[in-house]
Amino acid sequence: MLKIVRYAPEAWNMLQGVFCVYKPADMTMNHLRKVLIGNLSRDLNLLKTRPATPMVAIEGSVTENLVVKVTENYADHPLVLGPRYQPKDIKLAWAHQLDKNISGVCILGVNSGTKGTHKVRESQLIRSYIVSGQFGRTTDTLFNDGKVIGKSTYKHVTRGRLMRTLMTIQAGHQRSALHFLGLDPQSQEAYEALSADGLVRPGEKSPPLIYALKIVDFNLPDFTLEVSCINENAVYLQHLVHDLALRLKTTAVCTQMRCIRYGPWTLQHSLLHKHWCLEHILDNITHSKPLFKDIMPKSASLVMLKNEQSKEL
Amino acid sequence: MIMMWMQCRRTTTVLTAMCSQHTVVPCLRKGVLTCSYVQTKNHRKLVVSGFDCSDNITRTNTLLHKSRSYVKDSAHDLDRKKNLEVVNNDKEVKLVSFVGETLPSHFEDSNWENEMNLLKEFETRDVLAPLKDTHEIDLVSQEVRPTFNLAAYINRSATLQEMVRLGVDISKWEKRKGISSYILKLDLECDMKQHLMFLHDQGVKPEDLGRWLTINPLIFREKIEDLDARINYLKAVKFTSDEIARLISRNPHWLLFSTVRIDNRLGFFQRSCDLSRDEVRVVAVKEPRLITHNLHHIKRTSIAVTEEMGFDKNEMKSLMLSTPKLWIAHGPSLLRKFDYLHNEMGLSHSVLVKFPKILQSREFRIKQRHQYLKTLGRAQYDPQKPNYVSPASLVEGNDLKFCSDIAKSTVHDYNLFLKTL
Repeated sequence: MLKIVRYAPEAWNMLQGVFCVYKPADMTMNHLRKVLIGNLSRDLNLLKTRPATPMVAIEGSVTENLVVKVTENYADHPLVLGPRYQPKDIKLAWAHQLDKNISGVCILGVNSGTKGTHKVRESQLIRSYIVSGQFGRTTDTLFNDGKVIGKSTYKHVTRGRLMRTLMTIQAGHQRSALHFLGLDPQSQEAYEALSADGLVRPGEKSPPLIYALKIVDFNLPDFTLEVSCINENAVYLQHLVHDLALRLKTTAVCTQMRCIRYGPWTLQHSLLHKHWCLEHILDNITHSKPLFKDIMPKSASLVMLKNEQSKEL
Repeated sequence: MIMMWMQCRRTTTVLTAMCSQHTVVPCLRKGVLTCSYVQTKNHRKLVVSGFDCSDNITRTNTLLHKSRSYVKDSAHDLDRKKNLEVVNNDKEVKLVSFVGETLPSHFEDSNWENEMNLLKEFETRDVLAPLKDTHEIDLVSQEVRPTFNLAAYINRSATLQEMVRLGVDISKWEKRKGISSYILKLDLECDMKQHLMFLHDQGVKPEDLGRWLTINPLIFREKIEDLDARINYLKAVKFTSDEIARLISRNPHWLLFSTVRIDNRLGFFQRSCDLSRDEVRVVAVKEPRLITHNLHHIKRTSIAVTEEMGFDKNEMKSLMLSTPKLWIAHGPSLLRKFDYLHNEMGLSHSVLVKFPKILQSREFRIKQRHQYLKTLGRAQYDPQKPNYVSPASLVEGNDLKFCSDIAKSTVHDYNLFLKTL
């Protein structure tokens, strides 16, 4: 069902909701926000906007005839007031602030959808990242663009050794997940949480928690991991790569971080930079509505993921 | 701070005014009264002056302190010389020429005394009693108040309406300091018409005039003789009239620069890049904004081109002749682009000079297309080897053309690749 909208206020009324964007690698979130708002206001102004309301003027004298005229109102002209839709009119908020170095799926909310982004953040959805690293050197920022401060050999690292280290890390996180539940470990609820099907999510704000670690690619010195976690940030992922290498008695630096999944939103839902315009964003809002409804609202500290999400993991 | 009663000479509207600052008293005809607080030897005087369209004081009335009597006509008109002790400069006088409204027929130069009597009557009369003459209602007019937006004045101002009809974006004028209050003082016939005729004669198209005036409303400050002199200078330096039309249309700020300054700038470009006189003209016509651009920025970019990027003098000269726009671009992003093109992609200086458009385009486009070609194994920019891809194709054409012709794949594939970056 395709609806063609030519009238700007109608498009504006539809521009409410949560949508999904593919953030490019070297862009800060603030810049992204400005680009999006600029694009939206430019596109809205290109549509047919509200015409100027005419002015009613009463001229003449009380003793002679008073003439009521409907005249052209220059005070409502776009050249005098400015464009009908200006960047300051549009509200845009994000669910999670991705770091400059991270590219990938990014959830944003426009106008009344800004409340939706709060909901998305609070529902603690699992995010999946593809993290690429390179053995052999370490930098001060733990990322590719920093100053090299250490070098090491890496010939001894094998796929099996890497796999075992990943398993150790993952197990450690699963054990500590119990602490972050906010439940008494001896209680019945905690037992049910651990034994039940699906994954367990912590109650309140917790440190980053990893649910799955997998090797995607392994060509020495480069390697790529898939990390599924919650409450993480760029610094944590870089530290993960660094610590991983330390356990393997070598050093590594992170070369790329990409978010490929944010809860139900995946790469295929996200909009590329060249598609950041009104038409595509309105489309995306419509497509995101059913996904948005499926997010489980946070109730008690015991929250379990749906089976689909755990299957995808 | 004295509260006093001010009366408009024409409409006999009585308003209160604070005497420490200027007040604008509205008037349906041309004539604005302002009042300023003047300290003289014996007693403080309140000087009320009327201005006409050429900004000369036509009438002065003085009001003695502590008198609640009305402004008395001092019965002498001042001549053209401003020999008045006006305390503050009337910078904020807003002179608004009103559009011809249908005024009542009895509205003429009335007698001062009659109007005074009328006012005295107003004061003592009972408000609820019916009016003797209904035409008194006509005397009540709408106040013109200070405002943050020119939209409040535009329905009464012929000048502003004419500007909007030409296509000028007045909302952009408001964003700059001082422009609105300057424009409101101008009158279409006296001040602006000559300049508009001048611009038209020099070749600025009527459709373009709106955009032109939006960028440069201060042209009305320049004297016509100065503008003529600047055009004559350009003709003397052998610019043709078409070229002059292009210079002025593309760069509205050009006409604000004096002849000496323009001469210095043209000389600077000639010396810094070893250009001949003809070549300077070519550069100026190609990118008129370059000549009036911030000189420090241009010098910095020149240093970046020679020292940091490593182009030699001849290469810089050919870059200047082919794309002078590089010197207006943002310096750090230019350096980043060059760094990627030269070091990551391996394009030499001579190749970049041959395809100068690459340096002008957006960084992300070059990176995306190059990396896509690299994954396909088609990133070959050496004309000697087979499967040569022209570096210009990296920035030309939309994605559809790029994918089908150069990358020999589909846009869908390209989009999937972009999501892996």
